[in-house]
Amino acid sequence: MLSTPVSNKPAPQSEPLLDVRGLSVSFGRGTSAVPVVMGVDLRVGRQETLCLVGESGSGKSVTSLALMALAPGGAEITGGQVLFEGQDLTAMGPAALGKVRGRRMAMVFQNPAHSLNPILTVGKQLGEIYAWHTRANRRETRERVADLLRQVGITDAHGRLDQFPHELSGGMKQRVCIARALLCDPALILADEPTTNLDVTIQAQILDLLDEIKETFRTSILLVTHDMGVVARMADRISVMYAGRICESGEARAVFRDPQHPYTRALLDSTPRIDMRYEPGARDLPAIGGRPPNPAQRPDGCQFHPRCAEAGEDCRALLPRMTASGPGHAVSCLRRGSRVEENAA
Amino acid sequence: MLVTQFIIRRLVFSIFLLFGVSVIVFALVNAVGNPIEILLAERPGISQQAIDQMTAYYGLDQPATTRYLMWAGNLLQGDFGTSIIYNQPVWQMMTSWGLETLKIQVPGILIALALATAMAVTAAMRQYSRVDFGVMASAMLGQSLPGFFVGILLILIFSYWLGIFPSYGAYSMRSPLWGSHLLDALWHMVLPVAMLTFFNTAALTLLMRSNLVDILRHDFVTAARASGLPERRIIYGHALRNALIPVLTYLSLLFGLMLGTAPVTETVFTWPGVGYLYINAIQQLDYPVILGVTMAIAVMLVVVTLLTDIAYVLIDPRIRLD
Repeated sequence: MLSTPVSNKPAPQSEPLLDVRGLSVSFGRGTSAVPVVMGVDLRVGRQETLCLVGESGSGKSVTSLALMALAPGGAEITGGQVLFEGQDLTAMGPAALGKVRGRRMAMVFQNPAHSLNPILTVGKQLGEIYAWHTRANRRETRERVADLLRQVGITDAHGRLDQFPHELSGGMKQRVCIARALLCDPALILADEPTTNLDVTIQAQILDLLDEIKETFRTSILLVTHDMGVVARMADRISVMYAGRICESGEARAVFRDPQHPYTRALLDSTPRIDMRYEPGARDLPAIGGRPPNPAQRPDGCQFHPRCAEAGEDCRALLPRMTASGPGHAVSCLRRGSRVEENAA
Repeated sequence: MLVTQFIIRRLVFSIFLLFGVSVIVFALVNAVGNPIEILLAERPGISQQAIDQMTAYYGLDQPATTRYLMWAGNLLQGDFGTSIIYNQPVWQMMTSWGLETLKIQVPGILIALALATAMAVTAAMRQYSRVDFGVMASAMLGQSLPGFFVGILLILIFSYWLGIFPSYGAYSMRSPLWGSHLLDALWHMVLPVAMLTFFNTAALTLLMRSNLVDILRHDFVTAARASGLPERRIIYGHALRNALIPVLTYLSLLFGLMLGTAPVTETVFTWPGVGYLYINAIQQLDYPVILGVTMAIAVMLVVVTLLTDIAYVLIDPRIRLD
């Protein structure tokens, strides 16, 4: 498909809730610094779910932490802006950040068993956060925490307040984590693979819960996942990440109906479908050959070219940049007519 | 399981343990020889009759099993026997000398704990920085220097060269410092406590720093940061409490083996504590004292381990008492 010019109509939505521009994160410093996230642009509108998709090691978890101006040990945000409700989080001091984190923007982690403090009761650790942000007294805090536990579908919410995380099941812990994220009515929830460590049936319940929350709490959700099934179910918009860069982004329907980047196509093709039969030898589930590049030794040109069937000579040398390919749809692929990144080697 | 039930079970088990310890120690002391002979070895003028009399007085003419039963029977009634050298009840000696030992050991552990916490937090918050390497290097140096060496070094610097602290004893022989007995006692405590603190701090710092570094990598710490809690609260309220759990075991050993490690410090500073008493008793085969102090060490270890196990349950809800 050839690239179509950007539509002339002005974008219907107003200023997005979250506008990430050119975010870059590196591990280490100086000459030995290894970039893991490079020039990532993301946009999340109000009450919208953006799915950030990519395989393990593509930098999506590091990106989601960086959106909170947090970085895992040894990593550092080296460039770009995270504009959230009009403010740049990367330029804020710790005190100002403390008023955004947990209050306006909250996070749900991949492993609920690890993201709760094992030696504090549910009531204590959730209450501490609420009391810190709102200066509420003990009774109000307890009521608020119990109320939220009830809203995320936990039975006997008052009794759970005095339980420790290890006394709860995995799905229940993740509900507690979601309740923790909702304590202060945030505008945005970052959910980093929130269902990956759960049973399939529990996964479905947690996804339903997230959808419900979006309506009742009027929040936006940035969902980081590698699971195309989850994406298909949840996403309003999709950004596909490969080797630290966004390679395609757009309205969910457009991306699913007409994937542009060869990587996105391969991802969709390698998702098992219930309406197809996979018999040995007859029709195998396609896989993407090769491995993502080592961040310390990246190939020149398009990062995907070593694994891409369509790659040509130009792909080995030139780095494509995100270019509109249709209304609300952008891709960075030379085969789709993307422009070339000028300042790249 | 109920806490009382747990305590009772442990105490029953402790009885067997202490019985075993008493048999072994008694057998060992017995194997060393006759204390009267050792006592009189360099005094050839004493008549055989006097020796026989003394041997009978201390019941040393009886077979070992009879003597053990007598000693153990008295012990059960709270009678530790009488020191051969000092001719004083062993229990009385242990309590008065033991107080002197506690006076330097307890501050030595508590000050070390406070220092180690501060240093470990400083280091762990800036992992792999210069501060971190500095703390680690000095802690490792501190741990590899033998305690007695540090003690002698302290005496050399602060007593011999600078002359600001006394090098031996717990009290001044003549007039106390500035006429105050309390100040005098504290003044004498400085160097021995410094030596113990130095030694304990090194190990505790290394242990706590590595635990903290490990805990700070956990998701729940990131989650606390992502919830907007200030860093101080995260470190002291969330990370440190988790990091202290393994430190508790080491701390309990320091307390439990306090009497066992006392001899080194108390020999270096001629400190009138249980350790000093113990070493002298061993040199002169003052067997009632040896037996008494050894049993006290065993009892203390049993009690401290029991308290530690209970403390674990209070701190870490995942641990159950079974």
